[in-house]
Amino acid sequence: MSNRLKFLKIYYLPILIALIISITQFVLSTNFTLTRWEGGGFGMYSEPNPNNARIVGISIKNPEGEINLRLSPPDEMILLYFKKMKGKERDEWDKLIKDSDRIRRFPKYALTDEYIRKISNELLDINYSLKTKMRSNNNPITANVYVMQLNMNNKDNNIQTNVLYSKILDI
Amino acid sequence: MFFSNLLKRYKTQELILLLFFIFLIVSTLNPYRLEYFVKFLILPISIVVLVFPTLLKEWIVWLLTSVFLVLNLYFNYLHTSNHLFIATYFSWIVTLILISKDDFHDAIRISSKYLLVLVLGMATIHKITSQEFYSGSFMSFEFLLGLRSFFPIIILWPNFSSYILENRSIFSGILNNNFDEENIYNVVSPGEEFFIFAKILSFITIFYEAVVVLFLLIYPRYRRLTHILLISFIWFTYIYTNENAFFSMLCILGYAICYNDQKRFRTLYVITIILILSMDVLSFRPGFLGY
Repeated sequence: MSNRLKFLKIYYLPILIALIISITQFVLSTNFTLTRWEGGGFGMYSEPNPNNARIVGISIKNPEGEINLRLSPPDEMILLYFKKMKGKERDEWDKLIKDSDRIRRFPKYALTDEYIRKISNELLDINYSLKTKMRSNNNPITANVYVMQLNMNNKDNNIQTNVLYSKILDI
Repeated sequence: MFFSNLLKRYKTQELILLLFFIFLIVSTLNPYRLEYFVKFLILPISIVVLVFPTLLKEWIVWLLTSVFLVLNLYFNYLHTSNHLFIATYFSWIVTLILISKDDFHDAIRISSKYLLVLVLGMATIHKITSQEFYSGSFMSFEFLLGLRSFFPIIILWPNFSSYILENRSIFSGILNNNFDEENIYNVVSPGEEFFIFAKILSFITIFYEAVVVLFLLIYPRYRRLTHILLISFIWFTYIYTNENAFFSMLCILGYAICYNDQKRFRTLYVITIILILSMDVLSFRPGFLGY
C-alpha cells in the first residue's frame, strides 16, 4: 500500500489547492458574475478587464428627488468629497470605495444589503437638503445599486452597456 | 558573460530560488500590487536573501514568505493578479520540498510542470469558453480603446491612433453619462477587416496556448520543442499583452522544468526574465512601439 502511494508527495499539495481554486473560480466566473480576471486570475485576458469594462452605479430616489452617481470607478463628486474627509470618516469612506471596487469584480457576492444601506445613507448625508426633503414624506426611499458591463459587438461596430447585476432596496 | 557568471555562481536550483526573490522584489516595488503590511514583510525578507544567498535553501525563510503571500491572498482575494497566486503556490511547493528533503531538482521539475499545465490549461479553457474572446470582441475592445497595442496594426492601418482617440472620447462619454440604462454606443474602426484580424489573432492565441499545454503534458518527451514553444509563446503574447509579472513567473517555472543538460534554455529563460522585469521597472511597453 505504502509503495503504491509513494508517488503522492506532500509538495503536490499546493498544486491540488491550486486546482481546487481554479475550478471554483471557473464555476464562479461562468455562473455567478465573478470576473475571470480575479479570484485566482486563471482567466485573465479572456474577457475585458473589469477596470475598463465594468461600472458600479447607484440611483437613490423617491418622488422628492433623485441621486445618480458612479461608485466605481468613483466619479469626480465622490473623489472631491473623499479628499475633504479626515480621520475616522475618511477610513469609513475608504472602506466603502474599496467595497464598491470589490462589487465591480464580484457583484453577486459582494453586493450586500448592509453595503447598500451604508453607502445610500452616506450619500444622502452629503446632499443634506435632499435628504430632509426625502425623509419629510412617507414615500419610501429606494436605492438601486447596479453593475454595468460594457460589451463590444463586432458585428454592429458598437459597445453595448448591459446590466450585469442589480439590487433594489428600501432604505 | 554576466549570465554565464550568474549561472556558475549559483547552483542550478539555487538560481530558480534567487530569480523568484528578484521577481518578488520587482512585484512589490509597484505600490498597487500588494497591501502595505505584506509588502513591508516580503520586501525585507527578499532583500536579506539576496544579500545572504546561503539563506536561499532555508525552509524557514520560504515558510515565512509563503505565509506572507497567503496573507496577501486572504486580504486581497478579489484584487490579486494571477502571478501572485502562482507565486504563492510556487513558494509553498519550495517550502514543502525543502522540508521533505527529497531530491530538490527532480521535485521542483515535476511540481513546476504540473503547475504550468494547470495555469496554461485553465487559461486555455477560459478563452475557449469565453464568447467575448473567441468572437474577437475582446481583442477589438482592447485595440480600439488603445488599452493594448500590437505593431502589425499600425502597419495594416497607419492612422489607427486616430480611431483610438475618437473611441476614447466615446468611452469617457459612457462613463460620464447617466448610465443606469442599457445603451448602445457606436465606435469607429477601420472596418470589417480589422474585426477579422482580431478574430484570427484570438484563434492563434488559443491554438498556440493549447499546443503548449499539450506538449507540457507529455513532457519530458520532445523536451527541446516544448521549451521552444513555451519561450516563443511567452514572447509572442508578451508583445501585445505587456504582462510583465505573469510572464516572468512563467519563465521561472519554465526554468524549473529544465534538465541539467538544457543550459541554453536556462540561459534563455534568465535573459527573458531580466528583460521583462527591466521593462516593468522602466514602464516600457514594447507593444506600444506601434503607436
